[in-house]
Amino acid sequence: MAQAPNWSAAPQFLDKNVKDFCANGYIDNSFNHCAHFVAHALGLSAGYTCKKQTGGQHAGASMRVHELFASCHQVGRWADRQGSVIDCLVFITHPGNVHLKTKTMDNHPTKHVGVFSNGSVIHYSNTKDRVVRQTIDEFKHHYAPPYNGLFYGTVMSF
Amino acid sequence: MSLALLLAGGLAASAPASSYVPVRDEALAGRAVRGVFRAAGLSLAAIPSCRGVGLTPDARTVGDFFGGTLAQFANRKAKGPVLLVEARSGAARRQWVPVQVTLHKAEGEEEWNWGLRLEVTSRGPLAIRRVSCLVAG
Repeated sequence: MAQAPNWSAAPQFLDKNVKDFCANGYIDNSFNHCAHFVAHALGLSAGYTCKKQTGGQHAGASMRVHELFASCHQVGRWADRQGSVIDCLVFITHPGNVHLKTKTMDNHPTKHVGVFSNGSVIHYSNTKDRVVRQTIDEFKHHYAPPYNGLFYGTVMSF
Repeated sequence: MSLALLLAGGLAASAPASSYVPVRDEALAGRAVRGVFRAAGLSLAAIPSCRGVGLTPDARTVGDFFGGTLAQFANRKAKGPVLLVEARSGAARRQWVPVQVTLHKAEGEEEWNWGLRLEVTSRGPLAIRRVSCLVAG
């Protein structure tokens, strides 16, 4: 039986580089690890994983933002997020890449994801090569308009 | 469009045991890039790592994926190398050489490195095998 994500685990990853949490060896700093971090932190393995990529022996974690988005239980615009949703994923991309009716996101490279928990966003900075914490207002500026559309996704279990 | 072929130097990447290193041999770099074009007609759906990686809903082939990714650089200036051509360390003398041809973007908070891994013949007629997609983020 799948376990529900442990949202409180994300802060334990702060300041860590990908080599510190991916035992499957998918640790090249030139690659994008935002979805990869989220998936390792919460134990998500939807879609293509680091284990499949490297042939590793450890639990695989998702690597692609659009596959995480499609696997969410519920998705929506950040502005429409109900107050009861206190732990969720937060996505940022061009709103035109997001199709809420079909719960799909185009695989445009300019997209990013983090863990929203306890009122802040914990995400992997690919330029700093480490996990960082930001306020949601800071996270809104991750990309310049029009790529700064914010969306949420709830995660039950996989 | 600005393209820079990385033949020497490279990114400060971590170095796992089976790491890929920048190709310094121009002939091998050429074979790697030509190999990507040779793979263009392959179906994305037929390769597990390539399923769903097209940038647009109508993307069907490796060429659609790589072309869509390349288009992200159209008319943009780049601070560093855009096209990275790497080979598995120590494999250059094999008959089949594992290579990695990726498009690297680093701009503001945005950094990604997408492309293909494949094996190309090191000499004689160019042939390819074991094509996979490198897409994360």
